[in-house]
Amino acid sequence: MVTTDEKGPLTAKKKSVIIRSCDGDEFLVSESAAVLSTSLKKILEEKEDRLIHLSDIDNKTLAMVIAYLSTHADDGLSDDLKRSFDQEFVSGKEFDVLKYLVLATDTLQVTCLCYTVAKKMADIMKNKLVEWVRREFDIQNDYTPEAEAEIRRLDAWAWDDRQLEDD
Amino acid sequence: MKPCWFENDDIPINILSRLPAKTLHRLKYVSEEWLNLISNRSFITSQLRKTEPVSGFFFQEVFQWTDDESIESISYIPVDVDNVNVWRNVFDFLPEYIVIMSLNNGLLCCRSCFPSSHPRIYVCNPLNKQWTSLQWPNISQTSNVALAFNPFQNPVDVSTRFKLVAVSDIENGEDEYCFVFDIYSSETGLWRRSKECCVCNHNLTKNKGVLVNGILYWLTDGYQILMFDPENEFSLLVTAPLPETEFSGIPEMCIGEWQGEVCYVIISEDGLQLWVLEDHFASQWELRISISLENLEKENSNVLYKISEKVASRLCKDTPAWMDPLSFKDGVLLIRVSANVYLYRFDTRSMKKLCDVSTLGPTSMFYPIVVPYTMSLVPLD
Repeated sequence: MVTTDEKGPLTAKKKSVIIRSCDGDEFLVSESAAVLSTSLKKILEEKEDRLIHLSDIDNKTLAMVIAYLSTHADDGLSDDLKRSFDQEFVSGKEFDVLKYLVLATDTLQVTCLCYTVAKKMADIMKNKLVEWVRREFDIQNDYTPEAEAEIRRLDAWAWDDRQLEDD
Repeated sequence: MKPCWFENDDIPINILSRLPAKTLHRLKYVSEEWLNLISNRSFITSQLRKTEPVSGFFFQEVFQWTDDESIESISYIPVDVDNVNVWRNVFDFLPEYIVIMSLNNGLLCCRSCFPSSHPRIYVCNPLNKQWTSLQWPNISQTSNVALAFNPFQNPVDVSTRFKLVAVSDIENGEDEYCFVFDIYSSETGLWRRSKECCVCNHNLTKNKGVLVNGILYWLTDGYQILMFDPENEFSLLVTAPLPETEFSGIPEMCIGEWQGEVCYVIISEDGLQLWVLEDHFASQWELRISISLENLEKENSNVLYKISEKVASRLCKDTPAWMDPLSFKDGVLLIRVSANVYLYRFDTRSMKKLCDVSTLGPTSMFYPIVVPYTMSLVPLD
């Protein structure tokens, strides 16, 4: 499957790159969009090959990153429009989706999007219980129940569990 | 495919450094790995921000007529929770009972309770329970010691550097007094008397040692604010926005910081006013917010009643004011009205009851020590 980048004019076709996800699907991206990723830019500078294989980014995540890159490569859009696109881009996305996005933007070195996604994740985490965070990041609790109870007692003044959410 | 979050620390740091200190303090208990990350100096340096919200206020009673004896108990009144609990065990991690002296950027400076045979000064971070201490220097017990800790000027990536400024009132000739300044630097571990002195016949009162952009300010009881710059060793008396003669009654005031500006909050027959210092050399102030007592009452009719009459009825300074602005920071004011303590938010112009004064101790009506607390993760090891 080759998904064309809708906004790219036909003449730019020879200046396009094909990116393959870990699922094996291929995405056609304009070079101007691809080079907004520092990693992709480096790869394109080093080799002639117009096919780039990303072994750790899945279809869904890659499609989102490409949509972001294409929007930001569009010279016809004002900075204000791009900013509101960024806000729209992360709003309403599940934490799970954001986790994969932040990894992908880190791999691809798309600094701006990485910051936007990290900020959104932090906003979601702000009012969550420790248990929720452990679950979402798949982290084993290595405190003994006694140690945890003692910490909670000593630190109760600085905590406010009452307002925290578990979902 | 299962992603690995900790292949390197970049991603967790990128996300976690955007969270306020309060949240991170809680997230230390996710796992030991997170505890290490969150306790790391370079992480803390990247996380520190000037916009950390006010979490609460520390409140300590003092004896009205004597400086020689201290009251041991300290209350913490959180302001960012739904149901306010007053906490008394925050400083249990210190080796002795203490008296609060000054607080900035999450670090508290305090001293041993007097009388004490070997008084000490402590600088501590109640959030991570770390502290450092030094001997009380060769200055009067009535000296005010203020902490000058500015992690934005002196980053905490390698060590936590701070200065202490002790202000002492000495007689300078017949009926003339002046303030002298002793400065302690954590880098040298030494005290040194500054050549600077400031002639002033008033006493320091309330809100001691408020740090704004590296400069310390103390409210005096004579419509003047003492200013001292610990870097350039330069002092000045800033005249209050309004002189005493301006008022027919006896107003109450406090000073504090709001996003890098020195603020003067006053309650008088003219209402609740917030002044911002524009130029300390010229003592030039701008009236930022002014709310008449009538409007204040109208907007908070569930808690205030006939306040104009009550504010006007104060006849001498020794009787507690009906409304007393205790401490201010970043748009939130801790205020005592009659026998209750409220939080007033200037942005929403709303007042919320926090507790009864009586829960803070039997002498809490009279000039308590109150400092606003913003949390930080700054280490003191």
